[in-house]
Amino acid sequence: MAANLCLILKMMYWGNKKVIAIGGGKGGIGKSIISSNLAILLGRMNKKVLLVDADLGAANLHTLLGIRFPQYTLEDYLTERIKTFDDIVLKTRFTGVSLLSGASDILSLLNPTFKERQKIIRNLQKFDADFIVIDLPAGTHMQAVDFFSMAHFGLVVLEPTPTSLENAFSFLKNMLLRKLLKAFHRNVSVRVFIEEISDPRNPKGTIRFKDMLIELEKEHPEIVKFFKEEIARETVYIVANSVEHDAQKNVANKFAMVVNEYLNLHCILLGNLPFEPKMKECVVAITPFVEKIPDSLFEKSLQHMIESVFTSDKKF
Amino acid sequence: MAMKQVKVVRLPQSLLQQETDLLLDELDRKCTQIMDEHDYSIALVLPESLKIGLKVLWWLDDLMVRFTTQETSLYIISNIEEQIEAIDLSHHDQPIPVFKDISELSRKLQASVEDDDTHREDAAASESILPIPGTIQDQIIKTAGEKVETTGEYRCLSCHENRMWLKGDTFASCSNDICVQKNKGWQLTFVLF
Repeated sequence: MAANLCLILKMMYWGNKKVIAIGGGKGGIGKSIISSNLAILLGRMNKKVLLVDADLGAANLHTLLGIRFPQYTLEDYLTERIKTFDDIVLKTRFTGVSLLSGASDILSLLNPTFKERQKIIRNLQKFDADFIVIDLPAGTHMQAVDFFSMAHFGLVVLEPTPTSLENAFSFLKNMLLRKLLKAFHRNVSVRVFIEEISDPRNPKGTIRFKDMLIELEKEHPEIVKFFKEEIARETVYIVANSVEHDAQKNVANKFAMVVNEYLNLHCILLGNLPFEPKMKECVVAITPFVEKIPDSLFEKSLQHMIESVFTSDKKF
Repeated sequence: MAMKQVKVVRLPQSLLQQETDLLLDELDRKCTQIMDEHDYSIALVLPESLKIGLKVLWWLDDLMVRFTTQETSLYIISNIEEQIEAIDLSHHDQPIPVFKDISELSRKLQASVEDDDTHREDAAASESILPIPGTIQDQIIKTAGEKVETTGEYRCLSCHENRMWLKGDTFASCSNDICVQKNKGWQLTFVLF
């Protein structure tokens, strides 16, 4: 029962919808491309999909779906130019796929307030869809990691480059730190300790997440026990994108081992998506890859991930 | 007449210890990329450690055909006698021009050579190069107490048990109960970041 508590809470939160949040810390690693193609493939399986561009500062998911100028965006709703949430959801030419565009040049929307975030989430909870696919912004800030934590499936996209792997690790570490801060939200001195010790510029040098918990456990065993139980129920899904050589095929697997060893997070490796030389061509042609290049290895790999995890009741 | 445009293809130092298949994969990817995007001829710098066996010769044959089809040229840069002999003998009917270095090629062909040289820096400043994920750098040996500089999988030199170490952490002794020399050291067997 306890093992399923996390999922039960998420189901209470989201109803029957399944929420997939796609992050990874680094920009330009294919998060938006994976989000858009994943949504299209889910749509082809007769699922109702709402694709959410959560990158409010540099939204471009609409372009990847062939929409040059989105008629309405989140900005219209948050500034109350459009009163009804459903009215800002755009229909796309792909069966079953709708888009909530984050397109905005308004600086104040780069970091929406807590109230604005709650307003968006409440409407997403009510929205009629089988799947909500959230394309998270680059970076490891609050907005990205919070959406990631709330989803049923938190998907970390990485590519076999040291910068991407480093950012993906930081992304997951920040997610845990944020959860830890929430667990200690009533204890100001502990919050200050966590914030200081997790700052890489702190004079004592870096401290391992595990060691931080050992320190906290001495004074607050109950809270740390609760926290450990909570993260033991978390599962993170890993996808390696732009994989070219055999030597790179094992990178995601080894990355999962480091995450498990140092962050105690359970990772499931969803698989490798191959490097596709024609991907750039598709972006320029503002046509999703799975539409322009049918039956590619990329499409087959993505389809396999969908069937083995996202639409499989057994795994869910 | 327009000056011949030649682009230099070479491998990063960090890949040179890898198996021939991986080296050829990487060279092929680089050549294909240049052939796809530009109308350049290619000067291929052969790694000194590359043994010219059948695999390499077959690959060179295939590459030659692709260049001929595209009406551009393939040149080899090598000053290793064994490499030059092997290429000469195997391609005596359709020789591949071999030059000792880039300046000789540029001088003799009167060509405009584009050498971004992004990978030559590692000989001089290997410390500044980011590790390549997925590669094996078994020459890197660390002992307990040293700082971890590369996140990856390491093998205990005594009991051969593998474990992951994270950048910024400090190497400790092997924790395997049956290990008889826990302080023998760690060998980097899989690079991450």
